[in-house]
Amino acid sequence: MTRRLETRDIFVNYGEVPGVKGVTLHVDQGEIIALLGANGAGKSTTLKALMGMVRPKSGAIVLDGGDVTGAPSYEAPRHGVALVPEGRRIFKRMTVRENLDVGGVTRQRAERPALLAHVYAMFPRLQERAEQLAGTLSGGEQQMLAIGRALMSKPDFILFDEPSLGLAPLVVANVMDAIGRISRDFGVGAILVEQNVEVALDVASRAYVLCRGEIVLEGESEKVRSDPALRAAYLGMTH
Amino acid sequence: MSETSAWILRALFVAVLATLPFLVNGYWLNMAILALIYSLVVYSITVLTGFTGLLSFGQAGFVGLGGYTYGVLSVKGVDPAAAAAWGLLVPTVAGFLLGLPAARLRGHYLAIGTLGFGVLVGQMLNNMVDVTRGPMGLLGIKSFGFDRVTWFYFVLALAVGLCAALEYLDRRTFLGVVLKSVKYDEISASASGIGVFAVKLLAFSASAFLAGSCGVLLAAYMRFLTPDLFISAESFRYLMMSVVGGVGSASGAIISSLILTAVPEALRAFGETNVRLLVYGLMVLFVLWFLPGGIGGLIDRLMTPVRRRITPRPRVAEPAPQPTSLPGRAS
Repeated sequence: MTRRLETRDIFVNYGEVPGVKGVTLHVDQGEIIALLGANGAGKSTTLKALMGMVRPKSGAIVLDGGDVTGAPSYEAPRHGVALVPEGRRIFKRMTVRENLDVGGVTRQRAERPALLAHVYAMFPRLQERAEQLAGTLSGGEQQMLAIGRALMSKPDFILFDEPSLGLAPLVVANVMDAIGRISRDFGVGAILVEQNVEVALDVASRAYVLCRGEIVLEGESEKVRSDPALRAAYLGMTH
Repeated sequence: MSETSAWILRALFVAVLATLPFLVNGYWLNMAILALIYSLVVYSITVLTGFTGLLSFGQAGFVGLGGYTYGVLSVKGVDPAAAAAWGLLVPTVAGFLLGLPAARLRGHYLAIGTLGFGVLVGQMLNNMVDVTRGPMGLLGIKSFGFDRVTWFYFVLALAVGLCAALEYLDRRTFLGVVLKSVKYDEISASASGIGVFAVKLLAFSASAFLAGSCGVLLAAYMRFLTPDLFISAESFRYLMMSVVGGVGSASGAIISSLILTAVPEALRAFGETNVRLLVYGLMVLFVLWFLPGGIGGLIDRLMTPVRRRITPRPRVAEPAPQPTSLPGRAS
């Protein structure tokens, strides 16, 4: 059965300030969707709600039709949802191997070597640097490690929060390529939060555009790309 | 330094300690016993602060709870083994209960919260005169029936055994990795599936258990307790021992406990004035100046070549990392 992760009309407040106002979206296993929008549009907040890091004031987080709203974030990987956090947030003072071990914490001990082999096959560089402190990796390698760590939980869904942040264009292409392969090869459903609209639309099949906490545009990537509302959502962004 | 010579050094360290009863007089042996007992509370900081990243200014509170639980029960005629069991249980439960609110605090707030706990226990011990006899001190505590040399070997075995266990936990076990992940990034740890709050509760409980065991041994060894053994200044002394030892290094903790107990005693040559403490304080400052990682950091530095040797070297012909050779492009 294809699994589905969705938000249904969620509202999230930060104190009195509304962050997300009625966002409804869904992602199926094996597809990549992009979540676009300017700073403060509510993209990261939506991901946090999906991970259980913030609790929606109303609305629901739904997984395979079942309500998982309010489940703590450490339960998310057990439900098959993993996060590649903004700024990577790898454990810099731990080895590459230890980082991956933490990623596999929710899996059975017997399962972990096979998962580790998968990740190493995908990112051979991580195997070469397994005993190195993660902080000594280059930015691109650190992003690969963050992705590898997420893969270690054998997720059905991965939430990518600005994976291109601070990376050189060539490295960004590699990261996007990896995201595409993960989705294709492992049937992982991906939500890609990005500021880098072009690369995100290249890899995603559908996109949602957020503006001030609301979805202002959604649809196939190609339709979204040419829609004037996309520009409008990034007010001040002129090219 | 090779792996073998590292083991020889460890064995030598323990062997030298084991011959102490033949080398020193009763006064210094007494000091060594106290230092080894105090190493247990320094371990409690190793676990809590070093492994898990939670700062406590109230460890003396747990030591006091352990010591007084053992002491009071023992005076009332409870068998030493049963009293010791209670003396371990009470601080552990207290650590768990303190963890319930404290594990939600971070940084300075956590420090102040635990400081409050330490002060609270100190005040209770002082003022619950009916139970603890307060400032009059608790007399007539029964011991384990060991002579001084037996005590020495008993606490030596405990301190060395725990040191080895903690080093093993830190470097070789999955739990060690989990604790570290909570220390370095709670958000990533949580998103990876680690119940950060539960881990912190575990760390608080384990730490309180270790500190409590220090208290039980102090009470049983000294057979006399006063509340000022457990005031907040003691918490800071333990922290200082931990920092000089290198927070997070159990080996550093035991060495630092021994040195920082011996040095002020040796400095009595300066007389009983405060000059002694001034010299002591300056020495600690200099250690931290030249060894920011403490004694444990120094040990690690000496051991690093070992690790490099047991880790396969990267292939010699490998070119410098190129963005184009990143795995993403490989397929």
